Amino acid sequence: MRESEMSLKSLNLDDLPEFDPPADLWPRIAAAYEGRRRSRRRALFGTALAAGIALLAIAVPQLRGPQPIDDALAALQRQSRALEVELADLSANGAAPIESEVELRAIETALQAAYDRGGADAEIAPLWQARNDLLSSLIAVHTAGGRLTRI
Amino acid sequence: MTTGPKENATGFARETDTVTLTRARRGDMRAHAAIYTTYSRACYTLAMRILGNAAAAEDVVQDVFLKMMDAIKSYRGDAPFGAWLKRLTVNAAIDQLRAQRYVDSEDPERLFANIAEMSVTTPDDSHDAMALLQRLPPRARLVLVLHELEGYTHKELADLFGQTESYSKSILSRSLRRLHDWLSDRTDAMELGQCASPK
Repeated sequence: MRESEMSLKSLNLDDLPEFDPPADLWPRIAAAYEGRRRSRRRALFGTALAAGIALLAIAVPQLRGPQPIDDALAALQRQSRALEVELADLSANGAAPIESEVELRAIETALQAAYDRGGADAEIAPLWQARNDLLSSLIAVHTAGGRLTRI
Repeated sequence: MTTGPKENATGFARETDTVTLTRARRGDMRAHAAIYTTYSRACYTLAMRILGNAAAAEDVVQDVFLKMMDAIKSYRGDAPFGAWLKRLTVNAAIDQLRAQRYVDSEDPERLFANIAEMSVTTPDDSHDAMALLQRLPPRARLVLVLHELEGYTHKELADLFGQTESYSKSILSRSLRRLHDWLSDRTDAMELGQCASPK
């Protein structure tokens, strides 16, 4: 037989058998698939949860929108701390005016009381503002080398 | 397990209804089971013919159907479903051969050099087409099965192997020649046996 004419059919080979897979193969495949699907779902849930938390962390402050009183209060507190530090530096070179100290203690007592009773920002902010005004005055007095006199 | 000889082509030409395919795309396990029932025999038979090993063929079937269940969502019906599944099976079988380091020399000359001594047939299995097929080197078997039984063209085989068409033509021709020689040896042996047997 010429090679060009040769085919599997021309060889008159017996028919090749067909084979059936074992009966338990599908249950094994289905179980493997379900297992993979579960672990994928778990991984997906974990990823979604992490993404959700990250999104919340970013979105919540924005959803709350601008909070002028909170921000103003925070600004007053930052300013107060800065003034306190400045005054402390100046006071290190000379005695603080007694009457000013009394006034400062009075404002701080009022602030503490307002916080203790859960006072609104609108109530607390003016107290911080008063404290800052007083601290600024004290700094000005120290800088000028004079005494604070209230009329 | 063997159900006897029938037609040589495996059953990938069977059709699956669109309702089952749609359900399978949605992840319905009963639809997947129905697809398995339709094509698992074709898939297993093809893997057995290429690999000649039941455990490896089972691995191929498992691999193919796990891939099918994942990838069916992206199956758009451009090619018949059976043809798509056959491609998955061929690729999985080639992966199995690679994993078993059975992918032999690419050089057709060297591919058949190692089986020269095996051309003397063992009479007990010489009648068995499956056994004869398994004597061929894996790469030659793959070419023979895909071209002669599954209808792959030399162009498709060239794409599959990343070679020229003459490459698969050369391997196919040598494989057929080898099978022809083995069968001739068998015939000679049988005639010799008949002459020698007492009357």
